[in-house]
Parts: sequence; structure tokens; C-alpha cells
Amino acid sequence: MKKMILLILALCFGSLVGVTLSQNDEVDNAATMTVLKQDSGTNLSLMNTTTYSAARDWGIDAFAVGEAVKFTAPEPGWELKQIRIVGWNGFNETSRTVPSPNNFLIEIRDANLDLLYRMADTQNAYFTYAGPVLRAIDIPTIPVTGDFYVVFYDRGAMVIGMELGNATGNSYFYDSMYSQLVPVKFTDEDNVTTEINWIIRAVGE
Amino acid sequence: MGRIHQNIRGDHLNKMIFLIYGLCFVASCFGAMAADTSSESGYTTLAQDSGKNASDMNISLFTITDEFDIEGLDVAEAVKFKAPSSDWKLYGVKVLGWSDYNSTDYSYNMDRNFLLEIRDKDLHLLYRFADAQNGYFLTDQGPIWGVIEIPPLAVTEDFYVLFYDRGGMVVGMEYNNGTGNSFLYGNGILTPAQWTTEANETIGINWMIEAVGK
Repeated sequence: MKKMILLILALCFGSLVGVTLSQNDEVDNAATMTVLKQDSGTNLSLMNTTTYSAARDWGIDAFAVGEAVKFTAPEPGWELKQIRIVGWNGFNETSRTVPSPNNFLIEIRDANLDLLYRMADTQNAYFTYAGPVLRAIDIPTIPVTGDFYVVFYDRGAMVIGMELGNATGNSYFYDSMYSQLVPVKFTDEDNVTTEINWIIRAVGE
Repeated sequence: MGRIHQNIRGDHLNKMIFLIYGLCFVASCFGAMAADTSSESGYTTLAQDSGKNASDMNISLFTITDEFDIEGLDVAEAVKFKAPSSDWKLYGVKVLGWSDYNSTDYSYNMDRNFLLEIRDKDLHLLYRFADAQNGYFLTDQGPIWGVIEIPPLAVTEDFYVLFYDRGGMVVGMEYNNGTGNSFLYGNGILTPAQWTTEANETIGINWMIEAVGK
């Protein structure tokens, strides 16, 4: 795991570029709060996006590897209240087939990667839509200062959104076995390296 | 806890006859027991087992529903600890467990939640966290010390770590050499974890659960 810097992504497999993104009500309900973004900031409908699950590259270790984004609290006293993430559980709207319930895990870690908060819940309760959705997940108010990380473990139970290119350098894998961050870069069959942004956002005030 | 099961569960707990789960099998498993890989620099690990080297322990695997059936879903393996100092904080819990894995066809069990609770000396709840067992105990190497991090939690004097395996996995227990700090917790009551043999001999056990903090 430690040596794993570059991962191979079958870009053609993940060519759900331009996925139809919707958002749930909690996003609108928190409209007055500050939304921290570490993607390009482009409107989601215009982004070059695809979906990803850690199980594609990490196999059984995907349970211990999360998609992580580094944020910086905009001011002292700022409090994190909500996480937003683009995700999908693969729900088949035609057959109304809901996947088997499996847990995702969210962690909030400080600048030293010390744990501040964690929650686990079934993916189906949040991501059962016809396609990827920008889903807001409320969390108890957490004061954060300076840099902090939001880590999302999809555990192979769902996919999350990622923006191809326009990388801001704030997206990582977090390897919980070794408590370390691994920069995310994908190399395709033609040896072209693509840096990405996880579409994970932090909301607070 | 479902009231409908209270009496049934109480009867079960009073009997305190544990399932001994493949002792011979387990002895061989521990040669492959994976080590905890989390950084513990500056941390203190509290254990309430015999203190022997793991390879010298008589360790077995236990799952609550094998003994208590569905009534076991709300029964926890509990260990009593004592904070080493007044400002000590709990940062994580280590549990020797396994969610099983078939290395032949690479299959594993469906996700099932365990529940972790931290309670003070009066059994008041301080923290709880539920998650799927596969996130911590899925390995092709047999039982592993799964580490469940928690946000720093101030604990003073005695406190309890309660682990509800809910039949989704097995938990290690040291057979005999009981230190008197392992219990079953159900219906708000702690019951000493001990096994009564056919010869009416009572044997205390120790759950392989550790508390990590600083």
C-alpha cells in the first residue's frame, strides 16, 4: 500500500462523463452556510466528471481506504455542519432494484489526521437515485481550525463523483491502516496521467 | 433493548454456558494472527487478559448468537478498565475478531453491523458507534486485532468497553485465567463472563478487547 502512488484507472469504463446530477433537499436547506470546495468550482453540470469506487483499485483493502479531501477553515471559530458528496449506489430505476445495504463511513480529521468525528450508515439511505446525486449529510457541529480532512470510505458499496483534470491538489486516498495520505493520480493504458478532484464538499458557518 | 426479550435474555445470561468455538482450530489460527498496525506512539494500551504472550494463551472464538440466538443481538462482550490517570483519554478500542473470509473463492460475509459502546463506571453511556464488521475484521489471515478509532474521550476511574458482535463475526476470548474484568452486558446488567463445565466447574474467561489512549 505504501508504494501505491499511481493507480490504473480504466477511463473508458468510467466514462459516465456528464452524469446527470441532482441534489437533495438538505443542500437547499443549508443555502446560507459557507460551502468549501476543493474541486474546480465549475458548475457540476459543466464539469468533466466520472464516478469511482475504491474497490476498483484496492480490492479487499478498499474497506480501509477512503477518498479524502483537504479543506481549510475560512476563519477561527468556523464550525463544520454538513458534508456534501456526489455519489450513487447503482439503483436501477427501471426494475426498482435496490442494492444490498452496505455501510459507507465518513471521518473528519484534523491537520494531524487525528480523528474528530466518524459516522457509518447504509449507502441506500442516501444514494438511491436514478444516477449520481449531490447528497448532503448533516453532522453534529464540529469546530475546526486550520486544515482539516473529510474522508469518505465508499467500501465498494457505491461510487462517488470525481472531476477529471483541473486538479487542485487537495484530493487524496487515506490509508487508515497506515494513517497516511496518498495523492491521487490515475494513469491510463497510454501512460497518460490524470489528476482529479473528489467531489466532496464541506459546509459550515 | 426489546422488552419482549428481557426475560428470555435474563434466563440465558443466568445460565452462563458459553459456546467454546473450535478450540483446536483456533489454536492454529493464531500463528497467522495479524498484528495491529496503527501507530501507537505515546499511547497506552490497557488489557484485562492474563497478560501472557498471545501464543501462550488458550484463545477461543466466540459469537454471541451461537449462544443466545437472536436474543443475543442486544448482548455485548464487556470489559472493565481503569484509566491510568485523571486526564487520560480513550482514543480507540482494539478487538481480536474475524468476519470470516473464503480465500478459495474470495467471498466474504455480507455486511452486518457491530456496535461499540463506552460506558462509565455507573454504566452511563459515553459514546457509541455502529459499523459493518467487514470494515475492520475482514482478512484472509484469520483473526485480527481490528482497531476502532474514536474521537478522544475523557474517561476517569473505571470505565467499560462494550462490543456487540451481533452474530456477524467472532470475538477472541482467553479461556480460563479470568481476571474478573470480563462480562456479558444485557438488559442493563453486567454478568461475569464465565463458563460452567459439565463437572460444575466455573471457569472465568477474558475477552480479547483492549483500550488505547493517552
